[in-house]
Amino acid sequence: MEPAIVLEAVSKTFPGADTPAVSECSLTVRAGEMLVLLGSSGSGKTTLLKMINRIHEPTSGTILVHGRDVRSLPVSRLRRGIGYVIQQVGLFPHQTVAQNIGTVPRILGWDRRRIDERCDFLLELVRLPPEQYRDRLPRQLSGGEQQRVGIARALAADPPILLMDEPFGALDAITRSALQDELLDLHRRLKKTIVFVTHDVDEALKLADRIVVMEKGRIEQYGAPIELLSSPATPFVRRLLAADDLLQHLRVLRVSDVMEAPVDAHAPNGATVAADANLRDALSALLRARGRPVSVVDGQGRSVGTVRWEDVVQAAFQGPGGEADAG
Amino acid sequence: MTYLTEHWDIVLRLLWEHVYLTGLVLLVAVGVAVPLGVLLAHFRAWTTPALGLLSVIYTVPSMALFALLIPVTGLGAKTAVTALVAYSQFILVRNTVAGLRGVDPAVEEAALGMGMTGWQLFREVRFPLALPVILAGVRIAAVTVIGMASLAAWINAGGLGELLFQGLYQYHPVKMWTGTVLIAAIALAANRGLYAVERRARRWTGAV
Repeated sequence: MEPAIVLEAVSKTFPGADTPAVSECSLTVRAGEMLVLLGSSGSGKTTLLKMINRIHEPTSGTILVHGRDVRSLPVSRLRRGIGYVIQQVGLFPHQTVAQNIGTVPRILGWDRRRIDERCDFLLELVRLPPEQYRDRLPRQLSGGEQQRVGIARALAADPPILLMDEPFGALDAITRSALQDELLDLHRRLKKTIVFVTHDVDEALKLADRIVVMEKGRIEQYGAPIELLSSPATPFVRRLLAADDLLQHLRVLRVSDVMEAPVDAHAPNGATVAADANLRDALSALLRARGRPVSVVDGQGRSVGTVRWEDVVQAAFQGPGGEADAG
Repeated sequence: MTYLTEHWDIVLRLLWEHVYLTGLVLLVAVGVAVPLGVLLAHFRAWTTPALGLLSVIYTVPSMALFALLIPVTGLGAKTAVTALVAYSQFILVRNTVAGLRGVDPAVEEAALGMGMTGWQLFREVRFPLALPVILAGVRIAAVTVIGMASLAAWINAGGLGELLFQGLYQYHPVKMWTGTVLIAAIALAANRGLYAVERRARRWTGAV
């Protein structure tokens, strides 16, 4: 499949700065993946993101979106095909939720009815009942609700790519966790290519298909979370991800990757764990079952497998099903 | 008091002249100041010198400004309008710039990130959000101009100032009082009316 975004030796030096904010970064974003740019402030992750939709222009290097150089089409047209979500949300305070969401469709000249339908669909998608929220103004929403609307607005014209710049950074822990879960669900359903910037390691490990670790404008390493954890390329990556902590490894492995065929002899107390849960949850369930095998269930509560103590121990050292090839 | 009952037509004419003069001044002044403010909000390097120049005009006493203009535009309404327009530029331009600059950068970034063109950004986001601040400037300018327009009578431009000056020269307290009360009434009414408009705009833009 054609990659969604390709960066070739991209550098950016801001006027008046001595050192480049981003230097010689090359990166391929696969279509449909959730790629997380992880780094501390000043690492260049946000600058890198904002060069994709040309909020910043690279000093050198090339960026291709769906195989086309981003400089080859008018900047407004490029951006209408890329959803953009920022930490401060930036909803238009003088427009209702529905008008905010309808911005890009309106620019694209959709008819009124199609915009209304799309808006209601998107509100449902981000779990805000349309009849309740459609006509509200941004200031009548909580921070979490505002960012849901921000995400709906970014998805309005159904762009294949979504750029998210620390979208949950300003939210309280509970709201953040809920929105992370919903983003994962949304990603699974919509198959968008998402580039997500964060400085939060936990968030990166939770969301990412692949993580790009950045430091001082350079890419330290990129690959699947378990690859980074099991073979960190630099001491910085090892320290940042706490790669020596095996519990970290368990969080990025799925129960479905290590489970065995269902058996009848389960823990007598009926402890279960979801197939899409991570192995840390599985470990917790195993502890509750005092080490006896735990039944793995799917979304409907049907038993689809079994996970044992030994499976978890083995996975912590080897990665998923022995396919942990270092990137 | 017989003056009022006998000459109400004169008073009414002067009142109308006064309102007309200030209305004309505001129309022209806003027409000049808003585009100028938009330009200055964009070309940041020009803002300080331009506002400095306008503030100099603003500090010139109005009588002196009239006197300076008489050799150029002569006696009459033309001079009055020119002087008052120049005088109100500082307030109007400053508020236009402040309103546009005051728009949340995150809102602008989101708008640009969604693919709005510069013009769409201005029309749909920046201008509507700056409007309450611009209108506040119009309100202050209106009240100031209504007061200063009284001096227009001094250079033959008409208005309620005529009553004031006549009352002063003839020691005619009724004329003085009528002029004063009516000017104050226009100023208060204008302030009230424009404040209502401003509040609506503020509520509409979510600034409250």
